[in-house]
Amino acid sequence: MRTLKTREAAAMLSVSPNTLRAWERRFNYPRPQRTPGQHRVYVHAEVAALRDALQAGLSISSAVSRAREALSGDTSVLVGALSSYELDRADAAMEAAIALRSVERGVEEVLLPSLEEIAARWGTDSASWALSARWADGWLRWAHKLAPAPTRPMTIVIGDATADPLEPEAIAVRAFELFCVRSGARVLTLPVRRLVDVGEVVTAFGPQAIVLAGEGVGDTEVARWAYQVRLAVGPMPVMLYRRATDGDGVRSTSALPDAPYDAHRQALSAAEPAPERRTAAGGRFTRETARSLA
Amino acid sequence: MSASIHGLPSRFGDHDAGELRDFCGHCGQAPDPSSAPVGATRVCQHCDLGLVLQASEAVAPSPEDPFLVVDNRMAICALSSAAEKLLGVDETAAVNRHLGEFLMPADANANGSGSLIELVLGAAAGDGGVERVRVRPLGVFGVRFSARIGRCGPTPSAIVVLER
Repeated sequence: MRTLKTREAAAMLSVSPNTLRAWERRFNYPRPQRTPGQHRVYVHAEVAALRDALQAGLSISSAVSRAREALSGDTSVLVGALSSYELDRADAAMEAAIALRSVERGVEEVLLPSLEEIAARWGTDSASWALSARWADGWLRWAHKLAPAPTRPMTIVIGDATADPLEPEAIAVRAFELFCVRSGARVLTLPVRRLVDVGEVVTAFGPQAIVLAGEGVGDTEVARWAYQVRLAVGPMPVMLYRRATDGDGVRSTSALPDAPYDAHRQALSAAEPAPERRTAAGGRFTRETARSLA
Repeated sequence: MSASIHGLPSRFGDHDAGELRDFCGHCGQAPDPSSAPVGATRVCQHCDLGLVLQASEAVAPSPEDPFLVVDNRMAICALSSAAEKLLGVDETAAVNRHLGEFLMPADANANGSGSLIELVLGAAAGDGGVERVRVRPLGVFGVRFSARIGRCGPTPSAIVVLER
């Protein structure tokens, strides 16, 4: 995927970088991504679509609307492929989508909206939904495998509280997991119903944050799992993702936004070890350091 | 007539509605004549939030005028900042919606020739001249505006300027 720095994007549109930032605030378009150094980078295809739309446009709003429309064709193709059970074509549609966007944007703007449309058309109790959800789950796992090795001294434990891997929430949790991994964090996903040895497993990874994701499992079971984890690794931020209620037994601190991209940014920020909390040995935050801080 | 919008070749075409004037579709300001042509995007250098449009002197708005730009499907393409305040809607929310969702003829019987829809469609189709009609915001009674309607460009469209 080709990206542009702010100055390059501004030059392509014949505007100043300040104008580009003003458009981001007012129109939320073009929507930049952030580099690890927090600099804005723009997707070339988005900027090019806006440039074309501006030429015949009567307002920036209408040009933005046209540009978005031009890029949303991928969703129609993916919905069409999944509706006609052509999974190879679905793969090709996602490949085309991420040729123009980052994987994160491809998932948020094409994959997830397409699944929402399939769910609305056929219902999540249909075989069509099951086929589509399984394809999406497989695609997300494939993208996970291709993600680069962890680059941050950070591990997030996801307590998977979804009831069924084919439920819509489970797909969102997979997307959240993928985004965290692609951001360089190490992610350990464990089902909350598996309690035996959970402390030992989690301790081996030395996590900095816990995310309880999905609402297919009751509060009591989730609280029991979270208690075991915190007993093993000490106090740390606990966040809820796609989980509506903060159960009686779970002393959670915050609910993450529904959109996986926003959620992963917030989770990474919460898990980022403060400089003074880093250990001398490479910034790893182990059970011992957690206990010493508790 | 001027042959360009702020240094760009005009696609507005010749017509007999008099001298053409450039203005921003958001703030209504005329582009600074001393500034260089803005390139392909026609972005207003005063507010950064609108594109430079063109209309005849007789219909073109002044900076404080509320106005709407409507295409030949009656869909709103631009809304000035003054119109945003007057109608209580942001341009981003109004774009692509039908004009009838915001304005209607003040005279309920005006549905023949000379109605709001006919005048807007006529202007968007390239009819010369400036027409006037009384309108009111949808769902608001007791408030009426005189509106002048004319052709707007560079993409063929109609401008509805509300006169307070």
